[in-house]
Amino acid sequence: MFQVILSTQWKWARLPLLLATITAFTVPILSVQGAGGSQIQGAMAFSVLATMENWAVWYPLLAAAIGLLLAVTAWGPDHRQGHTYALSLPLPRWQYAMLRLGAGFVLLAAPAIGIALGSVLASATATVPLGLTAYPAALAIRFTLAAVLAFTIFFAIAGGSTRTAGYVLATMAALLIGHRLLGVVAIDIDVIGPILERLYDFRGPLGIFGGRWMLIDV
Amino acid sequence: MRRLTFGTLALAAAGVLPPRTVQAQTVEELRARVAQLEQQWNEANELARRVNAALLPKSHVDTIAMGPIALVAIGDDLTLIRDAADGALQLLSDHLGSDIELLRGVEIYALVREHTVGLGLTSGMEQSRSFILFEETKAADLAGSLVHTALEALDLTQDGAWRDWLDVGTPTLLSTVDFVRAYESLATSPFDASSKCLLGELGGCRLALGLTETSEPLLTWYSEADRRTLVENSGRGPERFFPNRATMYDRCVEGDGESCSTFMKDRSIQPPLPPNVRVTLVQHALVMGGDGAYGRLHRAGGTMEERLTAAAGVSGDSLIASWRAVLVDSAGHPTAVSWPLGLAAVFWAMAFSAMALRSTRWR
Repeated sequence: MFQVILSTQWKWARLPLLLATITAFTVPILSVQGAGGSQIQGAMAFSVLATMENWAVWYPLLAAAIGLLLAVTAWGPDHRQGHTYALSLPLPRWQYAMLRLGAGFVLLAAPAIGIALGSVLASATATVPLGLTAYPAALAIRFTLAAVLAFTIFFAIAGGSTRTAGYVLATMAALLIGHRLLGVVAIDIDVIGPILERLYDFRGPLGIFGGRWMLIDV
Repeated sequence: MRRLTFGTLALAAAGVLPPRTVQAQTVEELRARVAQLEQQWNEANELARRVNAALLPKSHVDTIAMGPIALVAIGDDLTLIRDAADGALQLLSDHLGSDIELLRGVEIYALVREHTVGLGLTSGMEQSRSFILFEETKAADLAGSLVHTALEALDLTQDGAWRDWLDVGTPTLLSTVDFVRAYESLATSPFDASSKCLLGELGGCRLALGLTETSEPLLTWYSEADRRTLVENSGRGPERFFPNRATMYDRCVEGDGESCSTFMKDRSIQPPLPPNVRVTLVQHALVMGGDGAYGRLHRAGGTMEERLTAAAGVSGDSLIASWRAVLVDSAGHPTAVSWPLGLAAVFWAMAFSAMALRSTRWR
């Protein structure tokens, strides 16, 4: 059963997933090339760091995009066909959802391996300037965790009813509008700031997306 | 005539013609002007303080003893100041130990208004500094500000050479983050001396920190390649309007070391490592020195290294080597995924997965 689910999810997602994997493999290499490639040792450490910082923004975005892509492709056909396939199976919903979730995790391995290989290759081809260190493993682990987390978040939203997705969006909109209205009536209460702070705190659900996403760092 | 005047004004406004003051004034004249402006600024501040005090006829005035410091509080509600003073005294006692006596005679003025609290040093201090704290300021935050203001008084009693070298004032309470930032500055510094320091060469650290006494800092602290970097970093800027400066710049960038030195000759030369790194050395010396370190630093004269070793109570080599070790250790691995961060991500992934499994979408 799992093989069938995995196979269908692979068919639905293979093209964008392949593209995402190639991108994940390429970004670390491009970042090192941008910093001077094999001549990186001759570059000044601060300019290498500046280049790495410019590239750092793409890793979490890519991880989130991969998570979204896999979650949407996992549920999209089911939603379109009114869940007839799922309902025809002799399985409770939670088991079916678990199979889809498991298949998604397996597919996530492709971009995870892509970024790991890309990071290792990029680090191996460059002599890092004095005082800086290459972190291929740390970057790959951070990327994989972020992609897994993004996938589960979007999977939970996409797997729920339209009403659930509506509640999530309505809550976010209410927070934004509330924050705006408080500002209009000159009540100086920051609603969004503390929420974002907790979301991106290292214990928060989005903590892994914060921090430094640098292949080469101090 | 009107056209000529208009044309001249237009050129001056466009920055093509440098102002007459720039053309004619020497460095000494500009320094004298800066000193004059600084004096006028201080006088205006003092006047503003008196006017502020005069505008508060119904305010209470109270002198609160904060250890050896006299805290003159003016305002309607002094509860916040009193609470903050208690907290500040505790922090200062912990930080300075017996050296808190160095602050005897220092007066800090706290002016509490409806929305703001202003703090400043007076009574013989060379300059007054004040800052604004908002209405919702908590006593703990204000205590931190009082500690900072009090420690500024220690800095103000140091001589000009010390303040010129340190540039940012005697360290108050540096955190681990400050040391991490200092390591980043050391690791990413483009200068030879900094790289040698990073590798553990103490002579390199002395040069990079500006501890090597010299009358020619540009030639002593910076290598020829460094001087070219300095010129390149400074950019051509407005100097492109001065043909000989532009030529000097071009020659320097093309590899003429003499032109680099001449280009930088009139500039104020700072040590290769920035003030945020030097301040960690001072903090490290004070921590090494323990109780009485501030006093020894305060009393010691001589070179910067002599003052710091007096404060730390160890030799210059030991001080610099241990400072470098602390700095390198503090760097950590900022990109690495810590266990708590990784576990939190796994926990949230499991939580969201569980939410997805619990949904009753088609029932």
